[in-house]
Amino acid sequence: MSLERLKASLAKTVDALVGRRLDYLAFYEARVIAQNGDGSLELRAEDARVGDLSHVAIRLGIPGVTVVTTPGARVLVGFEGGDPQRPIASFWSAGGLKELRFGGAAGVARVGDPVQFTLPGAPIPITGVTPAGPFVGTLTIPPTPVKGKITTGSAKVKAG
Amino acid sequence: MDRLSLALGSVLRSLLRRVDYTATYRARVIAARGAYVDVRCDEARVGDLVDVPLKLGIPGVAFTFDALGAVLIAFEAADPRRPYATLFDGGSFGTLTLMGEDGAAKSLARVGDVALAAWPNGMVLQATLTPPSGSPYPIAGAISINEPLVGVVAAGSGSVKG
Repeated sequence: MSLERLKASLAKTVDALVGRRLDYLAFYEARVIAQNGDGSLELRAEDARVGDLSHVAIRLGIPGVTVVTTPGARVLVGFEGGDPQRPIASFWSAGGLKELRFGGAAGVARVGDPVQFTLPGAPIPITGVTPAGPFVGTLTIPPTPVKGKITTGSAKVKAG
Repeated sequence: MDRLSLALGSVLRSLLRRVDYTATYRARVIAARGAYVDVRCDEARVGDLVDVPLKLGIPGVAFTFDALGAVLIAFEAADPRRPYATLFDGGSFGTLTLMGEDGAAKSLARVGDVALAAWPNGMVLQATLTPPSGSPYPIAGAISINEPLVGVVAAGSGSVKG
């Protein structure tokens, strides 16, 4: 038997033995079906051998961050330690974000978002000078909130 | 050593030299287009790859490169035809967008950023004016201020900065 034929034969044998088995060290594309109350995901993998996975933990690229994702989001599924019983979801394609939390719960503000100023409702003592002479009195502002908008912000970071 | 052993050794060596597509490989980003990059892998057996999709650690994130750095290249399902790029080393972004479901993205506001508002209508002045000569007399009337009320964001997150 020639060396090339031996190589081909051995490679075929190796493929037959292990080639079609699912490699649990790799990551597989999956679609989010739903997100559970504990943050874990119900997933459907593109590769039928992986199939549907339930209560898959999310592993994010930053500590302390949590996400709420949307059905249809695309994510890669891997397996901790190569163990089929320990699937994890990581590495996301664009889109699929509903909510991103960096520890807190208050929404960040952006350019164009409304702001509200509270001015004193009671008459404000004022003094001033006019060409006709000085004056002393009060300025009364209606007790309605003054609404404005944020006009400057980061040139680099944007949020929807 | 007989010929069969030599041949078997050669076969095993050639098999072991194959790229392990479950591993990750460092690669320099040569060009970037949206969510795709062209890369040159440090590992010559992986070589140059084009139109490699970026997979990020957070959903809904998109960015543009400012300075190109390096990434790790991995392969979906250990398939050499399906590389993806993730986990950055160096480089910097030009803009980074966290795109939720709320529509168009807007620049994040930070402590010190400016907010503008119009003064309300219906402000009323009541005062007593004292002329240089003569008796004080009352003045009253509506006040309008055409310049905007200017404020700055006075407080913000202690842990997220931009």
